[in-house]
Amino acid sequence: MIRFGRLFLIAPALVVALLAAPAAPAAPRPVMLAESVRAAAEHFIETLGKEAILGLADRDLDDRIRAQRFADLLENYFDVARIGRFVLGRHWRMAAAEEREQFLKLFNRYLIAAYANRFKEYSGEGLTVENSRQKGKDVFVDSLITRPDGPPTRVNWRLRETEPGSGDFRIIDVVIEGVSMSITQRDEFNAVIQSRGGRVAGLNAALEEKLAE
Amino acid sequence: MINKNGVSWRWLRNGAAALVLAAGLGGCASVENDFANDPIEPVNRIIFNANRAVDAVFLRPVALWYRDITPAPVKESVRSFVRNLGAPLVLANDLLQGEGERGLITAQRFLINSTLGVAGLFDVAEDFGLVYHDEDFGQTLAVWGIGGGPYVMLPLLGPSNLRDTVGLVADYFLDPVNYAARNWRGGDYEAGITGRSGVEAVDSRSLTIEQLDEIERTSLDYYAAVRSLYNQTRTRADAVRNGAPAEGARAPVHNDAEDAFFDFEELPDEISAAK
Repeated sequence: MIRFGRLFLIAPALVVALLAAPAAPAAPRPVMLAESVRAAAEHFIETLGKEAILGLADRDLDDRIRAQRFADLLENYFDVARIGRFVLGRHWRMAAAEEREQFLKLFNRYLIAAYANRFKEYSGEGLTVENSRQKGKDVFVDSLITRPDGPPTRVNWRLRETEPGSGDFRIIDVVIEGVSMSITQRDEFNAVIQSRGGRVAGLNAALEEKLAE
Repeated sequence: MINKNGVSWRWLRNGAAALVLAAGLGGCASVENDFANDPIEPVNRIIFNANRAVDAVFLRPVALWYRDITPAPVKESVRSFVRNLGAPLVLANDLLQGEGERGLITAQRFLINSTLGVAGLFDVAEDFGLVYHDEDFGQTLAVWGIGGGPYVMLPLLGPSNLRDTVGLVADYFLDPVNYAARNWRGGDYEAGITGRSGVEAVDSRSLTIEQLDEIERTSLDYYAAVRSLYNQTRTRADAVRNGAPAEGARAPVHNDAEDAFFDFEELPDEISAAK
């Protein structure tokens, strides 16, 4: 009876306290942390932009050197293994270990072959970071690629820390004008897997054929 | 008017019936697909290849020629002119979507460009800060909460889905300019409507020559890549709004790219295999 009485006294007080002070005290610390994570992510993308434009956007550069530099960028800035897993979807889980390993190697080579030369025609382009936000484990950085002639292109980057709190980021998706490169690759590779007997080995064969072209 | 409506409904009904029939036929031969709603894929692939042939021998060369030979001011005027002709339809769709502010922009642009801009040849409204945006009935249906439905490759018109195909037909009959043209007794309106579509096709194709060449060169399955691009740009609510924030958020804002599932930690044996 006595306990009950206390509870009836405490409960309304608690309700009043909760209503009066809506979650104020606990907030500041995580917000500050999130700010610094976002700042680090923005800096990461700015650095990537500078490095890519300085290192790749030179028409006279030898194609092999450009490919090597692009490979370095891929390794330092992108989590190709994670993107590769995403791109295979459920097929990743069903693939044998050597199929996966071979796929990741081929995927890396494919990305270099497909994207390195796209920087060839760049001149006078710049990257400006516009905004960023944290959502779950990831930081999304919005940027604009500006060019001397023509309208800018919206490019959004999705980054994840290799270890939570490490400040060491890797890009896991690039969204150009609303089109996600990872989703495009996933959709296309899944169609290839389906048309080649539902096996990752079939996709690997298709990638090898493409790379041999 | 009633007669015109009758025609449009018959059109819609027949079009929809043909698509449903095609979906049924294709369904027998279709393969299971994780990421695309494409029940008539075998049929679509045949049409896609036919479209590619037409593109290779006709549209792409004309677009290339147009892009490289035509002086930039002429191209700008051509684009301004067809955009201005499209303004009444964009306005209708703005209003159907409940986008009053965007509708006002379209209306102001139309009035300014039709007069000061010499029948739309110059986009002077842009200098007043009134920037062009596109709308169509497929997007309106999307805003009303109607999903894209199965992917459809249309002959000559290219990638679409069931909703956007209905939208295309509806736009044709909704368009005040087409309506005025049909009631105009001064000449051959059909040629006018076809000519306008042709100019729009060449203009928009001339803007994507490099991008499509590049995707064709690097893709393992060009059809699947184009399908993915179409689905990404036409099925997301924010894409349908041209990136503009929703007024009152009628349709659920859903972003495929940001919702994509990248979390594999919880799946055992992934990380070791990836390293």
